[in-house]
Amino acid sequence: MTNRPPTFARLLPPLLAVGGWLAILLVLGVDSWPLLLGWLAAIAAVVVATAAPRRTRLLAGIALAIVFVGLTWEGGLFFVPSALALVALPSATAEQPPQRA
Amino acid sequence: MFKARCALAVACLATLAAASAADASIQRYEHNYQLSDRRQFKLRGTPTADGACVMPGGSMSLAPDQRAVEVREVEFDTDTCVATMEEGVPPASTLDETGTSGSDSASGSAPDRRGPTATAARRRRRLRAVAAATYRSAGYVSTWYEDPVNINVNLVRAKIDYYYNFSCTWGNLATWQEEWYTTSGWSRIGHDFQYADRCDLAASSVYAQFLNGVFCAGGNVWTTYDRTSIHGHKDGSLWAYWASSTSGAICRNLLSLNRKLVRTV
Repeated sequence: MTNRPPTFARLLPPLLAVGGWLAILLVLGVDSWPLLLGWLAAIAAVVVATAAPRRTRLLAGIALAIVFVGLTWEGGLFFVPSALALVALPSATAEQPPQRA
Repeated sequence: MFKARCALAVACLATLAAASAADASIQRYEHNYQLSDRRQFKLRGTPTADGACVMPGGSMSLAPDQRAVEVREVEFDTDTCVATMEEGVPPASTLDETGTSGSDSASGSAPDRRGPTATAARRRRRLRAVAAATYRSAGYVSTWYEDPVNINVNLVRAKIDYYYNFSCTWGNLATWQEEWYTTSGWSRIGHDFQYADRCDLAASSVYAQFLNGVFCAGGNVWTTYDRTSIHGHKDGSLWAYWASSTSGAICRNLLSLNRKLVRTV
């Protein structure tokens, strides 16, 4: 038996980021394309951070949450849940234990 | 081990929350250019029942030999309702009339009594008659709200262009302009324009209200410009008045108010 994080947990931050992006698209439509284009970078950042080591993930989550709040008027609050999920993820998952020879 | 990691995450979040809370009542606003000859002053607002602050209006003026003056918010204490303002001369590169980006706009003018309706000959005759002592003065006042990344979310501008001879003003071409950042969900919900073309006063005055119900976690935020006015006097001096406020959800505190009075002639 391993402590490998469940797939759902690993997918949660990127899924929430994509959800935020879709929410902006649904509410504002394609008129907000400059913002949507910019927020693709945020999704990429969340995806990269999710795959990072635990401590990096935690710091990235906190940093992204601050940046997203600063970008409130560009839609940043839609992405805060994904940043918080990055912070929560390390505590919900654990390293895979060393394999026996 | 799991408990320790969990505690680390909670501790980090708690530290972040505590740091935010300690400074939460003070909003600082960064601007992307410096003002010269600047001075700072405090402006005290009146707290409202919903936790917002209604800031008092203010005014600024330009003598005939002055080009521009800008007043902007640099700090706002949401607990005490006190704003720290900065007044100074903006750099020449910022004096064009560009506004928000990715925005919608509307503009209009008072009936032009010295333009298309008057024949060119009649206008020439009239100007010749008063040419000996005729001067022209023109300028605009802009009021706008800026977000933390220095994007203007909406803007109101009132303009005048008139003649004067130290005993009277006339021929005022009063115009107005409004812009709002539709890309991030702003819409205009109120507008009114008034003007004056009298011997004692040339004026242009705009009221506008904008709404964003999208980007503040479902809460509505209003910006109200009640009003933005510019007066031209018979000595050629310009005077501007502004009274603007934000209301609604907490994200309103992320918006900083700016005003600029610019002479164009």
